[in-house]
Amino acid sequence: MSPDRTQRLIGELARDLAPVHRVPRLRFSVAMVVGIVAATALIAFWMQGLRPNLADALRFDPVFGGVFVGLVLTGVGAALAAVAAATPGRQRVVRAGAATGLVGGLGALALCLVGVAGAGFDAGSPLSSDRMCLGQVFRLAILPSVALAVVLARGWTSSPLAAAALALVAGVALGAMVTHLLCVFGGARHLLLGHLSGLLLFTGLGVVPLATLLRHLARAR
Amino acid sequence: MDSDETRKAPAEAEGGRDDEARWRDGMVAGQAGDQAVYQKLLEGLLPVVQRLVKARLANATMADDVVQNALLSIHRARHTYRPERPFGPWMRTIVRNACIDALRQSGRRQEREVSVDAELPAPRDGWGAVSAQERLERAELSPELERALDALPVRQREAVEWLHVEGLSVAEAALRAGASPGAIKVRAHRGYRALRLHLEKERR
Repeated sequence: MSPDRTQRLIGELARDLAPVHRVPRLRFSVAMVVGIVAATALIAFWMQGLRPNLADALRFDPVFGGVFVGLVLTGVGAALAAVAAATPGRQRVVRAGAATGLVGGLGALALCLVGVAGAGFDAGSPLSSDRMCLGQVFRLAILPSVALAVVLARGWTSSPLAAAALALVAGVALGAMVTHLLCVFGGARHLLLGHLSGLLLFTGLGVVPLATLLRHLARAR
Repeated sequence: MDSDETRKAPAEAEGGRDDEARWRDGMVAGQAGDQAVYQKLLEGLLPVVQRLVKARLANATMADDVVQNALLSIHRARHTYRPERPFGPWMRTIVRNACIDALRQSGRRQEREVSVDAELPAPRDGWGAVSAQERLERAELSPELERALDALPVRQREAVEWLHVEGLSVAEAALRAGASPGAIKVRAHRGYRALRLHLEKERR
């Protein structure tokens, strides 16, 4: 070690010191994201109305109900993990959130695949309905994804790529969850392509640009 | 995301209640802008950071740079510390990531730097009083290397000069540039590459 150089650096760091605002508490950041999703959902419900017979579909259609639960787990788990990823020393929360999200996502995927295998690929709604819901998932995912990206940009993350992936998965899952409650179509294939596929598609498309942006912001800080 | 390796290294078991309370108070004061308390905090953390780094890195030369990078990262990430959370895991995560980054980058950096290092003077200690230009002149660089340095974009030239002519560590150069250590390394790497191409072209 070279103590002189390190001591000089410490002196420089102390001289460079400026007061800072602490990042908000984890629960505050998660509540902010959930609040944004809730507000978006309320506006969407008000404009479009809820799915007819939503309560019955959730209770008696195992694929529909299971995919909803899977999306909630994925959205909340990944959002928690993304927010925790912005703070050093919260690896346990990151791991717990990511694991919850993974279980939810894989569970929903498995249910859809079982449903498609049972009913056939062409059963249920036309293919155009898949595109409609996928577009809605995208639109509804924008705000929560941006909110999570802001939390990540404000914090300090050791792995921008993983953090960006978590933020996008969370945003898309929460968008898909709201879409799920609005959607008038049915069938396992529709749920797979219209509601779930966005998780892979939009995360895949956005993860590298968002990670690059986070890296750039971290370097500029 | 990172794996939680904080329990693996024996040196990381340190940080008792007294240390925790002192570190927490020091960082809270640092977040409020108290320079004297903050300097004491960093000086108190230094041996801990050095032990944590030594436990992970065998290369002593690299360890010196990593300790400085870790201190710089602690400084830059200070706004993410919350006093209701323990300080030790927060700090250890930052130090561990500095070690991982260094290990990841060391191989690539050595490959890129080796051919230009032969052309550049050995890094020196000391900074501030003497300008980079003066040091360049004193270093008696070959005219072709000076021309190659002049042809570099400003940021890349600064990075190469600070690291190889003035002898700053990456952390010191990062602090001076107001950029992250990663950004300084990227600029220096790009500078080395451009220098190598320029020198090869001149010699043909």
